[in-house]
Amino acid sequence: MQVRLRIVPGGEEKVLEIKGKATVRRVLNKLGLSPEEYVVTRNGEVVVEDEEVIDGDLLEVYRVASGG
Amino acid sequence: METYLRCTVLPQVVKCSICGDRAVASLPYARLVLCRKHFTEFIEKKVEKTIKRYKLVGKGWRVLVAVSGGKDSSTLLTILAKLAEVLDLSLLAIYINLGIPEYSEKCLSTVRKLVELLNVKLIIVDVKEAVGYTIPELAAKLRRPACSVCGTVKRYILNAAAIESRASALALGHNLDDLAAYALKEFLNQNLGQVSKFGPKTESISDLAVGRIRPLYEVLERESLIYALVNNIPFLPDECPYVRLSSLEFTLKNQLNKLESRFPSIKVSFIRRLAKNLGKYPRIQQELTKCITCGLIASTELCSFCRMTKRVLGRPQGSIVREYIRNKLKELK
Repeated sequence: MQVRLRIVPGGEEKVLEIKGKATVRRVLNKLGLSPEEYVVTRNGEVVVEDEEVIDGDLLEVYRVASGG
Repeated sequence: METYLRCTVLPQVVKCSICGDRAVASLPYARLVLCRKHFTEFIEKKVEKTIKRYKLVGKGWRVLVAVSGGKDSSTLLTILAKLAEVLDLSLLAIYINLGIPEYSEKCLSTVRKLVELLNVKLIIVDVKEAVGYTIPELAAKLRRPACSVCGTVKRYILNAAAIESRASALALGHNLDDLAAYALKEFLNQNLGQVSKFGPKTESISDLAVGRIRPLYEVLERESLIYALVNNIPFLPDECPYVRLSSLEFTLKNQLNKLESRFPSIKVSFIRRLAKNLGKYPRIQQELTKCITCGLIASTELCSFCRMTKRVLGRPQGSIVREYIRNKLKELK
């Protein structure tokens, strides 16, 4: 399946190919991102890391920590 | 007529431990998974409890709330606006326009949306108007990092505005992760006298300084972001262009998150114990006095803001900034 993905802010939308079932956590791991450092919305709704993603979903990934 | 049944694939959803609705946040430290409604209630209750536990405000207080357009201060103002009636508070928001190209304008427009939505009065202090230079210009003239100049300017303006508006407290949007990282940084550097600065509040000092309160003291940075997202609160996810993501504080935040995922609740325990033990850390012995030009808190003849502006402009700017703020407050009425 394919999910669309955008890092907020400013990231360009890209398409990610995933084999089999996947959760938000698996998508983040595939991108090399630690789930504890990001919050993800799926089609505009905040979801927890164990939520399943399906073909065609748009995931927006927000980094939690702001610098200082 | 043939009827076609369209097959819709629905994802498996994680459900709220209280009502069974779709979850938006997993909180391992509290052994909870919560939907939008219950998460929102949980965070608001937590802030209310923090305010009461640490006695951050008193009845009838006017609280000046510093807003930047970022998630934390937007979340803070939203929650305080909801609690204002029950806590008997009157709120005034302040935004400091630092003059950072593009970024500051985006922040200001976000803040305007926020205060309009919450019906909270806003005072805007434009650093270029008040001081004569933007933060990047001041930093270039002083040959100092922008963040260090920005810190001095913001601290001064916020305190001056709190004094001029006769606020009883200045509310800041620091979250648990910010404070844990700052305290840990000072501990690693063995600046033990600095650790005691990262409690939930500082006390007011007569007419020199207004006490600062941190109602998000026990709110995780992740919770602050989720709260802002699920409640559609206006906030700017952009990072200030001067922020260094390689800084020690930022690295500590990430490492603390890794620790938290292995040992849930370690961050909350740390920050609570820190608040309890603040008195055990040495206090910096510094005689506090009144700045001879602006009359606000200082540790030498001139406060750090007056010293800094004197270097750039040839004259200390504190009293001019105080008058600028007084005029801005008059415009509000």
